[in-house]
Amino acid sequence: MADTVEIKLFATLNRFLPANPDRYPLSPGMTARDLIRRLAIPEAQAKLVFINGVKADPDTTLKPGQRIGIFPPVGGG
Amino acid sequence: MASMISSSLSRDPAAVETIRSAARTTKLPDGNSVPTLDVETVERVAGMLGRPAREIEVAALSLDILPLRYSRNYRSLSFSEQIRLLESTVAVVGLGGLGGAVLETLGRIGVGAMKLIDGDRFDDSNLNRQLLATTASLGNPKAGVAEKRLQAVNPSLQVEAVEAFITAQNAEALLSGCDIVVDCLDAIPTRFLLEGASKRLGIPMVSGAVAGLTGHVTTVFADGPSLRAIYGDPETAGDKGVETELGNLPFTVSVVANLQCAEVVRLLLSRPGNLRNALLLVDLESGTCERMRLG
Repeated sequence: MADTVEIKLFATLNRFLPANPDRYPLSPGMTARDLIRRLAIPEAQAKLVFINGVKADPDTTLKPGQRIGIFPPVGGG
Repeated sequence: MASMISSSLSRDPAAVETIRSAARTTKLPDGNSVPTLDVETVERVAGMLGRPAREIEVAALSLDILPLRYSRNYRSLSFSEQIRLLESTVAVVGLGGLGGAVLETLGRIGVGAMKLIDGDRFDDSNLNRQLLATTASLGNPKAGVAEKRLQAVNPSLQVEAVEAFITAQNAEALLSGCDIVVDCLDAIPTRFLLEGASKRLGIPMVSGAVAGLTGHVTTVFADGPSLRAIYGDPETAGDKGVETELGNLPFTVSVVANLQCAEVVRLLLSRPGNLRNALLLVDLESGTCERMRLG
């Protein structure tokens, strides 16, 4: 079975959610930024990346079983 | 806390006797009976002693007499914690969706002094979510309407309404003396401006933001991570977030505003679990609330 990650996309990014967000296949060496590009999310909209609940640099290499959350800028009051 | 008003009145034997003799025993829902002061009696005693109602309430609590307006805070809040809230000063900056709900909750729980800051006026587009926006308040200054609302809810509070937008020039003077700043603004550059002033003054800033079905809350401390951890470099962060596309739904605003209030109370009472270096993310689309670490 292929190595996978779980993806959660918030707010406007939800439209970029792949068909298999709970078991998204990971290619070797893939970073969060690679994932953002592969999902066709505009990079400026991927403001915050969380890996397993901790803010992460987009250039972090992803590991199997991780939960990836991607969040756009939210500023309303 | 900024002021310690409890000491003087509860050390004045005549004042103590006046307050004690005005108290009436009330049975609480848990079956216990405690001495209490109703709203009208607080006002009457304040008039007799020539002191603000807030001081009467603080003195009463220090004598183990419960003002009835706070009786349902008890025992989630102890008497000494209620005193601490009454002696606190909180600035609410931005009196729209988040701010209108924040001041309502903080006023009801009994945060004793509030500074309400906004230079805006109500318009039609505020009506879907801003508690203070009514057909009657359209066109009126948000600060003035907010002050009237708090006077109606809890006239014991000391309220200062400031009809001005926060600027680099006025921020520090306006926030000085406050225990907590609540960021209820709707523009990212102004949030950074408010953060700068709060950090320089050493005041924790509880920041909330919403868009559509999503929002988040964090607290910025003078010695902790900045809003940069959320929005990136202020120079490139832009003016607004995705709320320009998604709008602002009323239930998201209420939830996030009250998460801010829970954090304000947590900080004022020095209770554990505050949002230092943490972002509480609310996503009402998936029905989840998750605490993220910012570093």
